[in-house]
Amino acid sequence: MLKILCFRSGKNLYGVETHYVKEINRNPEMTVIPLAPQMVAGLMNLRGQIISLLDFEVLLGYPTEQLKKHCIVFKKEKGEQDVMALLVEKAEAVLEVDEALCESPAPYLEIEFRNTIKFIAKLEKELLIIIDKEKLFKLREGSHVKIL
Amino acid sequence: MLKNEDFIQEFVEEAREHLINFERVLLGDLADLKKEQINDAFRAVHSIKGTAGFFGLDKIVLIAHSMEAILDLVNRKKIFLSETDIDLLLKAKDSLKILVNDVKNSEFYPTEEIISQLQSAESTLKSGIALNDQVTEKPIRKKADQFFNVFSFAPDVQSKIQAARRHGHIIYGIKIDLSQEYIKTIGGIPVIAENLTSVANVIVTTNRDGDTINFEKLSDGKVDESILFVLASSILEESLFIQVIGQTADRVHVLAEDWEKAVGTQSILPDSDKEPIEEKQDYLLQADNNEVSESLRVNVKLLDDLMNMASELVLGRNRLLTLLEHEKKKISGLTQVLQNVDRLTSSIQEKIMLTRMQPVGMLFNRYPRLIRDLSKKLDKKIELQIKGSEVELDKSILEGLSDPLVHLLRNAADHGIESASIRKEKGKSQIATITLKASYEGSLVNIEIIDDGKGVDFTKISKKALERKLYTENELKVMSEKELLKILFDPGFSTADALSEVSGRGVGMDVVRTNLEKMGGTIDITTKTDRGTSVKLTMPLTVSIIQSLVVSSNKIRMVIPQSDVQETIKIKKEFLNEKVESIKGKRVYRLRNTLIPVIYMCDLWNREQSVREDQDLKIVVLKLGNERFGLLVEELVGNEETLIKPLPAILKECGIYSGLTIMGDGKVAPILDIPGIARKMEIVNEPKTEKQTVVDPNGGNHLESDNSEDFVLFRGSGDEILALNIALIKRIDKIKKSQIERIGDHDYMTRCNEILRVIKPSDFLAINRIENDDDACYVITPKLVSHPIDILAKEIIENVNFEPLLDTVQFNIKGIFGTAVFRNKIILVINLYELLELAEPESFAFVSSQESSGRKILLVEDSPFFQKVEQNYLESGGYQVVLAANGTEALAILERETIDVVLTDIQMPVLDGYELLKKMRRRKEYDAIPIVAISALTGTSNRDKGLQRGFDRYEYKLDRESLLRTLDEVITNPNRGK
Repeated sequence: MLKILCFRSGKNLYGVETHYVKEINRNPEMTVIPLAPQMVAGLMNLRGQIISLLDFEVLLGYPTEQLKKHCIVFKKEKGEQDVMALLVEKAEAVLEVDEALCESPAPYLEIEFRNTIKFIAKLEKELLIIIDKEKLFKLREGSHVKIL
Repeated sequence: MLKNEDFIQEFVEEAREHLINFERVLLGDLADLKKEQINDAFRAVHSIKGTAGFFGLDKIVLIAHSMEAILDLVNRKKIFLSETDIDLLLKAKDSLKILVNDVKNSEFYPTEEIISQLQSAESTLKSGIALNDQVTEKPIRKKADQFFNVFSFAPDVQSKIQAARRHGHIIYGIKIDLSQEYIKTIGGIPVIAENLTSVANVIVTTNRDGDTINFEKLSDGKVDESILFVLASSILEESLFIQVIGQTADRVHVLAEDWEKAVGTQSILPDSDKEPIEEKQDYLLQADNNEVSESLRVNVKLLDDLMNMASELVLGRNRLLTLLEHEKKKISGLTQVLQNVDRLTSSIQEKIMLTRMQPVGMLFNRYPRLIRDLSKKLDKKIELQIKGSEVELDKSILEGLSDPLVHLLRNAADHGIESASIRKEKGKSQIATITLKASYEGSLVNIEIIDDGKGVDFTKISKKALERKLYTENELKVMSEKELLKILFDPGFSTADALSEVSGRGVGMDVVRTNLEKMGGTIDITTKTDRGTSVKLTMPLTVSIIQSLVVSSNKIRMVIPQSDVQETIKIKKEFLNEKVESIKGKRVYRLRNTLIPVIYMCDLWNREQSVREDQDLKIVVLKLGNERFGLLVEELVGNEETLIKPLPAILKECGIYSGLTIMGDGKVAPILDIPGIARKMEIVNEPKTEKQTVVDPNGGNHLESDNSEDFVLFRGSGDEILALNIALIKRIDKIKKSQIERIGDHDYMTRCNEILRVIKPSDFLAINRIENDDDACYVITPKLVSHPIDILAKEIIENVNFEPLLDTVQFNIKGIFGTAVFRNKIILVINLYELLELAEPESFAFVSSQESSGRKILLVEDSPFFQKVEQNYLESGGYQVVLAANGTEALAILERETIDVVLTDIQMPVLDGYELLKKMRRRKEYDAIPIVAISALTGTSNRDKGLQRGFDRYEYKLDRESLLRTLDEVITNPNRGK
């Protein structure tokens, strides 16, 4: 059973495995940094630690004008220098997903989502796109923005 | 079991330290090894053995024991260890280190080889000793036996002997010949007695039969023996003693130290088993005495945690202060409490940072071993000199330096130093020296690795760069040495030929530099062909907390480190256009006498933004090396003492930030990177302008001080290239020849309704004069002259920065300091004052007062160029000049000559100006001599500092008029000796 923290962006439901997540912040107080790459929405002070907030949509390449109010703060893994957080529209519940319901993404989906999809889970009412956290954050190195 | 684990860890750490000490002693100067140091080494190994025994770590015990035995032999028998012995001991130390590091598995390591090697070394040494003992002791003993047997070592005699020995005397037995011929030659028995008593104390005198004789009788001359034996003690050593008393060597014997014991106990051979235990116990007793130390072992993690907590405390304090700012008045006593908390927090943070400081010696101590191994491997003779090992750095910085330093040392040994035979051919000493030096410089620490090898091979760099396709041949052709050196830092570049294993492959200078920059440090290389290379690392002393200035524009807040800020200026909106002028689209501001570039802060990220002109603005004047520029901001929010947080990797590419900080209100703000801004906005040149390494025909080490100056190169009317210090130039204007009017013998032109005289250099200097038809030309207006005369130039070539090495032999023309070679061309360096003097003698000849003529000035200056310049100025003022190249030479000259004034540069090798000042002022006899500082730097802060430190005056090197005036003042009105 996978424990997935779900969040919305645009029309889709996404999720990441909870063991990567440190905490969720709603309405984070963010400082915008001029000249920062577009994916960096800003920086935030979390009890003395400075966290880089990356805009999820920009990372994927599909920026929208939606207000992003929630941020998912990730744990700092071994070897990593900076603490990262993902800025998303809305963080939702933690779901327990049966592995049997998970499928690998089809090739065209892989390209669309730039190889960040780990699984697609078939929930009752919709599809849950489970994102591979490590691959997602690799995107920050040299990411281009596709303008829709 | 847990407890045992803790202890084992402690043992491991202690053992490591002991092993480091052990190695250090062994690598020290062998000839100079004192008993103390051998004791240290012995104790180190002994401790390890003891504690290891407690844990049952038998293999460690065995190796330690064997090492101990060898050291004990060295100490007791005073034998010297050969190179092979030392290598063996070092190898044993390495084995021990491996075992200690992997303590739990140490019993499984194969140690038979090293132990048997140690044991055989031990027995070789032992047999060597025994042999020596046998060979030398027997003959002496035999003679001594017979000789000293004549004395009876009665208890009182023995106690006298012991007393004498305590005073450091040597005990001699003298056979005095009292035959008639001998007495006649000496001149009487009393003389014999006199000779002896003048340098010795007589203990006992006997005749041939063993009867005790009263020595006094000799003085009276009343002795009828033909031979006397005297036992005496003297402080003189043997050969001298023999000479003084006038006896022949065979009549004088030295009493061996343990003779009386031996005689007393009737055994002649030493007790070989008793001694070792006693002496070993001695060592241990000493060890106990030294254990009362003033330091504690603390776990590093604990210190790290403390550091973090202290940092957060600082942030918390900031927040507290901000929040309670307005409440201060409402709550009584709050202000004091807050001040207290503020002060304590800063102190705590500071002191905790200090706990992490360690002397670099701890790091440097590993390197003698490295160099020794490298020397052997590379078959070169290299000696490592370490200076400044007491300089302290933060522990994490020390750790970060370890790899880079190893890399650089290996580079020096591998690429820099030549083999002994090549060095001999070049006339260098066969043993090469690598100097590892640490020193403080303001809030930075410099670590230099200097070698006296062959210098950086530029052709090799070019070749490699071509091979790796980093640059084209054309690009490489025009590169200066500085640019070629930069290539060394390109990723993917490595000059290891045949990928020498010693330097490592692909571990290039770029990795070294990146690692350094991560810690906030920089690296710089200077080199001189055949003389050597110097790599200088500059590291920050401490890191986290800085004083900062918070500014804002457009509601965006930025933080600037206070150390980068020179001053702030307020500009009212009405005066904005007037004060901030625009030249070719770039904005400048007139700051006192200089124009500095300024930029709007918002321009950094938004070049198109419309400037809000309806506000008062502030200019923050920023420092960048010797350059200045201004940042226009809307508001100066305030000063804060803040914590620097590292910049996340993503933001590094912005180029203008050096870190982040959390403000008092909890919000994040970026810290501006001043050099980054300057680069991005193309405001100023690289702080270190292009320096040419001019080949010095006279030899001499230019790696120590930098005396290069800025010059403008131009052509007068001929083809010769003339040079004039930029510092002496006020302005250069382009004009048309037709603007120059000739009146009488002189040329003039008008500018801003002023009439200025113009001269052609060729009129006064012995250089070519070619009339050219070109209408365009330039006039150079000089500075620091009482009466400016413009100099006509047909062409302004460029600005350069170099140190001219003047050749004054070939061209000794008035008006020129001398010639120098630059980029393979000859340049004439103009002596402005002399030239102007030639043109208008009445205005420029300096008439020194009566008092000054003939006075002697001691000029202390290391730069040959400035020596020339200053000497010329001084002599033109009628003074006599004595030269010294540094403070030490100056002091020597002061001892032997009478000096009226000391004129000294500040930056000099060996002994600098400040030190010279200090030393001179300590001596009363120099009290009346005024000391004037001369500097190549203008600037009131330098001057104030100099005057504060005690210089009588502070003058600028190039300003002849002011200098001569000042000297005159200081001689005629000395107020010294107050």
